[in-house]
Amino acid sequence: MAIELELLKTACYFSKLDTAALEEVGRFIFERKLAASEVILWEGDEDEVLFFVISGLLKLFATSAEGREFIVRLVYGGDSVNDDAIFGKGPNILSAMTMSPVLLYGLHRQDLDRILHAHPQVNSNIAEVFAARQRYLVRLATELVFKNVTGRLARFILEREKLAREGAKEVKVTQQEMASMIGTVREIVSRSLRDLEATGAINLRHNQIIITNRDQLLELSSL
Amino acid sequence: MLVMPELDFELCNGCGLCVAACHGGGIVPEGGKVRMVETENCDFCAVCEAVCPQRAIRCVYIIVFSED
Repeated sequence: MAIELELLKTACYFSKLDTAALEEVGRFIFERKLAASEVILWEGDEDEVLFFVISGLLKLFATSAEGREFIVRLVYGGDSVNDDAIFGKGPNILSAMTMSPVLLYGLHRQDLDRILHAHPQVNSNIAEVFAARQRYLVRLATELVFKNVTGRLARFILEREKLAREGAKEVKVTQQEMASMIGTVREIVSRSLRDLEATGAINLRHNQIIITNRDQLLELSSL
Repeated sequence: MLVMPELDFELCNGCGLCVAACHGGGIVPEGGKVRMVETENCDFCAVCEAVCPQRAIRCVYIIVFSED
């Protein structure tokens, strides 16, 4: 299937390429369409493919020996997956699963090498992607170390509400998913939601988490 | 219409753990599986999601901001 250049340009590595360069890159790209809850990569496997999410949402997660899941990062349209294994030449460090129908553009490792050789300007995009990724991971690590669960949950709620406002689309999440993303278990999330409601920062109305006092929630997110 | 937990019928194996766990009567056994029943008694406690061994139930929250 022919790759759409306008969509390829949304991929984080190729956003600065002109049409001619995109056409050359497009020859190496293949398309994959997946439904929700499909696994793209398994932690520990050796994969030689770099993926770009063109549309949809997927999660990158680690799984403990007891089966607990920790969602390290959500991947939205434009972002890449499996960079660490491709550039680090090692096994996947995380698993990847779709959370909605997803369109992916894929690139084999040997073709990425050809593209980098022919279009060295892609390297500056890659450096920006990795710098942003590192910033995100450092923030994640410091939150897990310094913040309690209620603080992490408060921050999570604020960030998701901000995403919803910016994307003009409501953000839906289960208690289990919240737990997986902030590094705890569902029962603690349930309790922490009630703790937040008791402070007056949020109101729980059936399936809605309503932010009623953003300033207070912001203050709680710094705990 | 009241929002109820989402049930993935394909994943449901009819074990009935959710029926037993639901204190609001919002889940009933039907045809070897289960069915969600819209009821005001559902307080979205999410225990049904927690007990389901098949991960067939999702209690999906929406995060909103109230200007009030």
